[in-house]
Amino acid sequence: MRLAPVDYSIILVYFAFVLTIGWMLKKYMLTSTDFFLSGRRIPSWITGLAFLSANLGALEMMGMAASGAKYGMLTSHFYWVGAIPAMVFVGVWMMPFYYGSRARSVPEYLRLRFDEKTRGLNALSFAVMTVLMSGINMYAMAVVFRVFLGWPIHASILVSAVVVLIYTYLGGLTSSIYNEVLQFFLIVLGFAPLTIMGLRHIGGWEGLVARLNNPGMVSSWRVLADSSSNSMGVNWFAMVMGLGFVLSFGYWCTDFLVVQRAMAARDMTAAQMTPIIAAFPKSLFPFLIIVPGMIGIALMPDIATSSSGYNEALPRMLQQFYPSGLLGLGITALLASFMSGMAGNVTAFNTVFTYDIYQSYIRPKRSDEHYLAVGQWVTLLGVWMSVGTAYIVMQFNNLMDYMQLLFSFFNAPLFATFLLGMFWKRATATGAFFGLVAGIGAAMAHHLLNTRHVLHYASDMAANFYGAMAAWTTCFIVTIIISAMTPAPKEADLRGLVYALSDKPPSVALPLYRRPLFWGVIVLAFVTWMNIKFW
Amino acid sequence: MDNRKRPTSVTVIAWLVIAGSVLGLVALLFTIPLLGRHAGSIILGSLVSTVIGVIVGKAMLKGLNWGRVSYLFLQPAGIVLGGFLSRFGPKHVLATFVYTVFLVLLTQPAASAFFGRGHSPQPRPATTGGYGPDLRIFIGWMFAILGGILTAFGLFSPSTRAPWTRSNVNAEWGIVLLVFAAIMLGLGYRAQVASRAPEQRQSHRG
Repeated sequence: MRLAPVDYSIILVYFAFVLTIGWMLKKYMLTSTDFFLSGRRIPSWITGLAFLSANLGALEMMGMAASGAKYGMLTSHFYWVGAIPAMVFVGVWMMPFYYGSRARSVPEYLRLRFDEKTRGLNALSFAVMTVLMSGINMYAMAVVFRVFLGWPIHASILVSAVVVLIYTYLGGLTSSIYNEVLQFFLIVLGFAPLTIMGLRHIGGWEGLVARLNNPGMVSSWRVLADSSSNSMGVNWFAMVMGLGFVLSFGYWCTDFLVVQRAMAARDMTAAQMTPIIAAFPKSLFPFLIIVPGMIGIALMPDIATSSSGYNEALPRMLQQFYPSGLLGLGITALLASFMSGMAGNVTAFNTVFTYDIYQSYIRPKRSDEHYLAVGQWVTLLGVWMSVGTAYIVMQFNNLMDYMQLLFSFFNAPLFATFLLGMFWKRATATGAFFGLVAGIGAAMAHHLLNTRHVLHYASDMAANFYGAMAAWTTCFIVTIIISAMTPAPKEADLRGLVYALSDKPPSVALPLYRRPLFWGVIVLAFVTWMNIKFW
Repeated sequence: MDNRKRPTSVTVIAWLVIAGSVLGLVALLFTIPLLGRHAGSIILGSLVSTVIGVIVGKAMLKGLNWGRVSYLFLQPAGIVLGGFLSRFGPKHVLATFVYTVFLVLLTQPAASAFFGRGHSPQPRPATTGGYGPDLRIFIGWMFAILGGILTAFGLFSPSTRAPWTRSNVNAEWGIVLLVFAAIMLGLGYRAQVASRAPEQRQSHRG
């Protein structure tokens, strides 16, 4: 694929706008709350779209299209069974505690609810993993641009890193959020023609079904009766519990990268609406990402045996359907997805590092200006650590898989800790800490047993789902047992932090159509219908 | 008499910019025999960048804000251009790292105050954007430009096709982007006008 001058001009216009946003917001960054939390004054439609966009990294876009090409509509479970119910749950039931506690980060909520050591464990693991994931994303994107556009790998890494650095450094979380919204529209309007033209070319949905000639590719539930009847190697139980409950809830409900966007909202109702607003476009993403992957494999079956495998699905579709001009828009959308993912990681990293590590353990009780300056320097540090990681991953390619695996070890048990922390007032700090450690240990032990062939699964995906279930269950049970054996926390310390000891959120007094639960039910009804439609 | 104090970091960066520009030209003069048939244009380009570097450095020493802004925008462009002319490599990684450190130092409060851009509390309009101009106006203008480029390209080059496209998709999608941009701009400016109205009423009463 070769880009024409018109394509480059589109990329340059995009760069100019993202940098201008950072530059214009710089003058508003007067306090650390402005920089790290956007002064808690962003409206919900903006935080909602940013909540969604922060997750749209390069791996997500390329990976989901590849998954669509490989597994077909089974991939929709990541959205319609996994993400959407989790987003509704975090909005309606968990956000009142995150936002109402006035915690500035997810680890800080853990300190308020439990103690310092649980916060420390979460903050440290999150900071390290976030910056590593950012580097992995950066490397993945650079490889895509080298393979398909012939761009030098150093150039892709440096240009994108510097652009993200400038706008996050100047405008903090607000700049990141504003750009994520810009990037959201670019991603939607950049990829939508691919689905439209692809379906038109292949003869609509019926044409796609006929061309694929494989019922397993176009149904999402019928093939889940047992693990041998689908290419993913999982059955309905692993799908619902492993992916739908543990992994998706673990990510969307506890990962500070996305939760931070809701914390920047201007009031409690806006914070609650943030993930629910995000759920509406998210529920349509299978049509934007998975369907082009399916069209790709239907029209170009050689993708399965190509050098980059199913990862070629999205770039090859762009190549076949996008002429110069529109191709620039498509490539800019890919760039935008990468940059929004990276900026999300960087802003989450600088907040957790500054508040939960630096302010707590290194230099407490300094002035607000001091922490603002530290946050800006940490932005620089985070970006350069990501660049360093990208170069390390370049040398040791299998590191990428290990890092992602390690990341999954932390998220699944953390959801059990939060669930018990928010909805069971008897959960104690000691129980939470050792439950979390035991859950992470269980995930690692499960992985070892799997790689040593003690446990057998039909696919790596099935192993991931069962590993997550093992980690979650271990954390859940160990936390309950140890909490029961240790003295109960004082109720006065838990006010506003657990369900039984909190006031109802202000949204319950609003008219029905303005309540988060109302909209949550609507989006859940929609995805239920989608599940039935593609049964 | 201007009594703004120049931070040491600004002094060091400005002199490094000047020295780097001059030394780059001097080093180039020693390698003239190796430059081949493009020697003339390379020397001319280098001379221009040296002059710009010296002017920008001097402006920064004098506390002129355009010097700082010019440096912050021209330096990354220089690195990218240099990378494409001489293959990206470790030296460009190093140059980018140094640039980002300079970026942080040049935008610290003390440096901003020296350049006459010290922070003063900004009124934050409680519009849909929360900070600065309404975000929809940004989005609208970006898609207006992108839609304009696509539509114009589609109209001037109607035969441009991808292997599997049969119509002028550039013009078609360009118009879709323009319609989207118009909606965003309409919503953004309407909200801006609505948020100003109460303020104006307040000032009339005052």
